[in-house]
Amino acid sequence: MRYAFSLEVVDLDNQAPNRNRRESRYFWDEMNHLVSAGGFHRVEVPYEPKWDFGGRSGIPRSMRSVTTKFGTVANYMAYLKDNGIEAIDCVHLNPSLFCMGGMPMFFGAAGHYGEEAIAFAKEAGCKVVTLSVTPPYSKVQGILGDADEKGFLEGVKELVNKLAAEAKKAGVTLCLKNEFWGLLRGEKITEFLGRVDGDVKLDADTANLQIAGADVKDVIRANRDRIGVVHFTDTNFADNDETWKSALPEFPANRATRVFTDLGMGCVDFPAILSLLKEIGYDGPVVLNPRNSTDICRSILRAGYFADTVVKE
Amino acid sequence: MANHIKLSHMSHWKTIPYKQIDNFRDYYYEDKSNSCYYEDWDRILRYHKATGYDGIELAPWDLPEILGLFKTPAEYTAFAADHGIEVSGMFHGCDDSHIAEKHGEVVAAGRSAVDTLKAFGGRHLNTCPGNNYYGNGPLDAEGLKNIASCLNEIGEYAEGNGIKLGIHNEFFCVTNKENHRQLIELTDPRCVHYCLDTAQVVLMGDDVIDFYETYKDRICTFHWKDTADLGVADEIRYAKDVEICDDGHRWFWEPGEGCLPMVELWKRVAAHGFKGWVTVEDDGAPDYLAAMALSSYYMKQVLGKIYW
Amino acid sequence: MKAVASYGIVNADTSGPGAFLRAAKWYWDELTDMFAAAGFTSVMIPMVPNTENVSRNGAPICTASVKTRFGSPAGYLRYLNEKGIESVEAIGISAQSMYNSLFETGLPIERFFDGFYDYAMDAAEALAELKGSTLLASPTPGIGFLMEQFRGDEAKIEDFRKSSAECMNRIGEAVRGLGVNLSIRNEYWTLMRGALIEEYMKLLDPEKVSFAPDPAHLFIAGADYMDIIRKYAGQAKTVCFTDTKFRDEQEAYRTISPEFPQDGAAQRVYWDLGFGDMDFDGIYAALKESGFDGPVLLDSRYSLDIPKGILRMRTFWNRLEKNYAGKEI
Repeated sequence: MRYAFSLEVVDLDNQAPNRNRRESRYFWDEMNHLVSAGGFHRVEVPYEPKWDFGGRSGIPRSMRSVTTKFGTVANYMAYLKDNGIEAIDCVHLNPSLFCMGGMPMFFGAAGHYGEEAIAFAKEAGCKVVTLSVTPPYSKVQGILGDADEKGFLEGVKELVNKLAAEAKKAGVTLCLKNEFWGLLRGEKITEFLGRVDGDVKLDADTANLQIAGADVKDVIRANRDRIGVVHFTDTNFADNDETWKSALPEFPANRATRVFTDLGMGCVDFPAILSLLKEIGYDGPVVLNPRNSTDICRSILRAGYFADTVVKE
Repeated sequence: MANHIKLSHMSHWKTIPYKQIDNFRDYYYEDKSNSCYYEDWDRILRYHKATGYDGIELAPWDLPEILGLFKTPAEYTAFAADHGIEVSGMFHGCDDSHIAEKHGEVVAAGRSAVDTLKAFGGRHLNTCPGNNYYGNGPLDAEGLKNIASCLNEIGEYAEGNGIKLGIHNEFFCVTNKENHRQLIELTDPRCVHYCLDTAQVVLMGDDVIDFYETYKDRICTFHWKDTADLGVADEIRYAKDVEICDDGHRWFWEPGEGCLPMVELWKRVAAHGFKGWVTVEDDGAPDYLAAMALSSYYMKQVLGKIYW
Repeated sequence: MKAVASYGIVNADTSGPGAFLRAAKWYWDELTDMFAAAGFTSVMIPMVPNTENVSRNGAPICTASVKTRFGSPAGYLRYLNEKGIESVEAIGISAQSMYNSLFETGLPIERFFDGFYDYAMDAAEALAELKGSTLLASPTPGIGFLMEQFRGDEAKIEDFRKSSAECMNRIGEAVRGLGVNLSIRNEYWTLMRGALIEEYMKLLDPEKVSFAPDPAHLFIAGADYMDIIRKYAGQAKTVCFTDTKFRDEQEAYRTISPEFPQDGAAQRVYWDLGFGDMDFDGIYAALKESGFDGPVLLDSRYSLDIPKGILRMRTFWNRLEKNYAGKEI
């Protein structure tokens, strides 16, 4: 197993003191040094075309941004190496941004940016692209129109198969991440994987599986030959009120809480999961993801402490 | 203080993910930091009132989350009213307005924005007239006319709905130093007004006092902010993705923290007897609560002593 | 050379978001984890005299607080060891902190150096238990304070300076018995600021007291820091690395808030290591050439973002070593 650190640690969407820094390139230049100083030299890049629309190309989360600032992806990779980051181990595309205006709009945009994310991964030498397999439940309800969830999932299947073909051509593994707020939450992903291209793999995201009520180890066992990437995410959250169906499921409306905690601050049983991953011979990337941190550098250090104490091999 | 001026604040907070945090103490203890002070509309609106604002101007890119939390514009407006805050207006962008073939699409989007703002009870649709300069400029006469035509049509619809469309030109916009005044002349003064962004016109290289004196009858509202960059070079304004600087340089500052002749401008505003909404826009500030307080102090304690 | 991370990165006294949290034990517990996570195994702790006001909080910034929270310095060391911090290499003491405590303790200025000696010995005893090597002392309070205290009487101030040297010799002698070195630093607002250290060193017994040069403090005081570092590298038991861009054009050093200059274009004194103007590559090379192989106290003093400051400190040290290794090849 090799460990990478997710740049999803930086939340660009929600309000936070000093958030303004995060749109400028200098912030990201130093981010490489900070992640590297925390002992991580491989990263995950969230692929976010959202910033293309406002011309925020200082944020290196899309092909447009990277080529605007560095000319080519190859230049960007050379720059990362010069700054302490050796590789991108995973690219994550969450196309929920486009879940508006109807199903054609969503599947059109998700397909387009899915292909772009795969092309980006290929040029970056990254072997894994993980796709948030469905948008949040409530967003999906907003675009169903006359269709039903089954019809929507047929669309997802088509999308996944189309992107799987693209990924194959690019020499990249397409994985599916099933957030706890999605239509394929928890154990539902296993059955869905059985219906799509056999090369598509599971992104085993620990906190998301746990919040959805699944036994994380059971899901890993059930997909033991189909795990393409593992995300170590931590949580203390128990979804007792169907928060997953709400408009902003990462922010439980009835009781504010941080759904995803820094690594080591939640209750996910990482030693047991690690031991299972070893037992089944998993040797792919493990991405440590303290998603949407409220204190980025503290999260890097907490992840470093977690790496030193919990996952040390 | 007389009451000619109502003070609003442009909502540049990013997504506010909660409507109201009732378990504030417990939530604080989860992180023991100030982050939970900036995550619910209840507190954000309390900050508006506490720092002396009467209104908030909405950002359209926030609407999916706002409507997710509040379900309807009316519910949001009522919630704000409970906090003593009105919706003063909303920002809008007329992308592709210079392209004749896009006219229908642009006008439809503009009308939809008018409808949305009306539902929120707001008055000012502060409208960026077109795309970025980069990739679109320089405009020919036809392109400029196309923009004016879109603005006239949306403006007419807005006026009919009790909404004031105000042109809000940005320093990196396709209508720029060489033609932004011309654009005003091409639009219908009965229904297309102007939202004077005090910093943007100066960044473009215009003289804000002269601009105000020339167009004071067209000005329906303000985006009041400061800058320390008086006239930015063409090669910067016309370059790609210039709104956010690579090195963290800030184009905008809280009123009084930059170099604009704010007192002189405000005296002109007073002399003209302007009445209505003045919106502070603290875009780029690292701490909006502090920025709101600083700005409000300047507006009320420095400018307010001259005219309010 | 051994990198030692200074807890001086935390400014617990000055306003800032979350500043009040820094008095709580949990804050320092996590700070320990964070230094360990960034690969630091040894730390320096600036300590103030034990007073009621400071001792009751959870920050390990005086021996009384350490004893309350961990039973003893040895208990604190066991705790640190469990967290991945192997030693407290140095404890910092400061005559300015001593001076600040007079208001609370009521100790008269005439007994200042008796009090300072007790404060030093208490810290040195703790340091011995913590398996540290260096007691780092700043020998006098700020010039601005002394000017007020002695109403500008320069003769009295000069006497005070000489007394401080006697006190250093006395402390130096006593701590040797504990297996601890006494080193002094010359902060830019003190009576031995900048090049004045040369005169001051003549008052000290080199067997008992050594000088720990600090580029930022020398630079701010207008001295040629590279010259002084080269000159004193041979005798140094430890050195301090602090970074700055600050030029003291308005003589902030003479005021009662020298670290927060009230006037002038630049009002920020300290910068995270690597973000100021000091030529650390040159300093590192000079220390190597002089055969210095002791602890280097990394002091990103009063960082505005502590976790970021810690990560920057790691980046700084890695680069320094890498750059030097690159030059050697």
